[in-house]
Amino acid sequence: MKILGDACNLILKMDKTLMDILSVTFRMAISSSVISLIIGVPIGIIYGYKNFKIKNFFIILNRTLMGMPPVVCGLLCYLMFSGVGPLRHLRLLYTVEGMIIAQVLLITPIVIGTMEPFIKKLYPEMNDTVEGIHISGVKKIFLLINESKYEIVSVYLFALSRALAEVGAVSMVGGAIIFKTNVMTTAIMNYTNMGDFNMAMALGIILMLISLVVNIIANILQSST
Amino acid sequence: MINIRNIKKTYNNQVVLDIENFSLEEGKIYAIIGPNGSGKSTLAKIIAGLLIDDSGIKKKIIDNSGKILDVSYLPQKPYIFDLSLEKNLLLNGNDKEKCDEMIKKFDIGYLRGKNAKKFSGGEQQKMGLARLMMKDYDLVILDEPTSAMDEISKTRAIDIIKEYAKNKTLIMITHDLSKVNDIADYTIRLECGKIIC
Repeated sequence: MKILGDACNLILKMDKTLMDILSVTFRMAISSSVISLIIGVPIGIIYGYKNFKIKNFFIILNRTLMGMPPVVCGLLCYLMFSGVGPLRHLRLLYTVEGMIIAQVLLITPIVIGTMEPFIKKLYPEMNDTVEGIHISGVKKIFLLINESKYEIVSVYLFALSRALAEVGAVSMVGGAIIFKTNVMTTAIMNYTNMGDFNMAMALGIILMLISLVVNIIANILQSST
Repeated sequence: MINIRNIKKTYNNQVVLDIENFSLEEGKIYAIIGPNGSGKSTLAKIIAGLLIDDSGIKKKIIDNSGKILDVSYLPQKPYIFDLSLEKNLLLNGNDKEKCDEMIKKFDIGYLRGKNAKKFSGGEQQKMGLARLMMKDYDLVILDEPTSAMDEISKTRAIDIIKEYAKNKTLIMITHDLSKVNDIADYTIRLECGKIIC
């Protein structure tokens, strides 16, 4: 109970270290989820409605990537960005930008894999009507996006939740450096290991509150469709 | 005359449609009737170019002068977009006056500004018809366009269709044999994928 009280105190006083961790977390999570959405939604739409020769291969590949363990992604990024890696000149190791890239590699297949079956179901339902009055090209794509808007927002909320909760890849690529790359999840691990349960609990409470808000928004969206 | 030749469609090794050829007189209304599974909607979609038959080539409907006809198609359950009534209609052209005219004709003014996803089945069908009628086409195919409407709305819709069909060729798929005589100049009966009469 004392830990809980001290944790709440840290939150209410807007402790500087806590705020810094939140700032890095939100910068990383929002950037990576938005980038994943921008890349993943169009690809998911294309996979959902277009037929092309090796489509099944790409879908299977994407589903495999959806299940990629975060630490494997972290390992691959670490090797790419490290001093002996091909992208070492970009100096992305132990940076927020490197963490964003790792998150994008993890989350984009999930965005694609969520959009594809939705569009696959939606497209035949609307295609006869759309083709019947000769709507095609860009207008058809905009209509597909319009009909998918709630799904896209749901996918974004899921991507954001995933980005906030991820620990494996971001700790390997970011290094959990205080005041630089320490995000909520890596900070909880570190503070717990150090025995500073107040800070760890404060971060845990904030993470759960964010999760609650995201779920409330998702529920409101679902009720309105 | 519009000649439609050699339509054959097979699903899972079963021939669902096998029509050698038939002709349509331009400017007339045709009703296609037949039991469920007789191939009516399949025929309609192939003519409209939405489905490709066993030839593997999208059908182009050509009249005697060689002109490729502009064919439109309204499904039995037209897809309703998550937009207002007006925006749904204006998907088929930007003519706001025509949009107002269609809303008045179908007596759906009370649905103005409302999201079309919340309309009843009958209201959605009226909106679907109104949307198609925002433009003129050479050949119009309607798949059971009034199936979800009440009797009064159905009668009114049939009158609107007849008026719209002037100087056009129209094919209407219907199960409502009572309305066939009201609207159609000719009836085509389909059974087991073949034209019986």
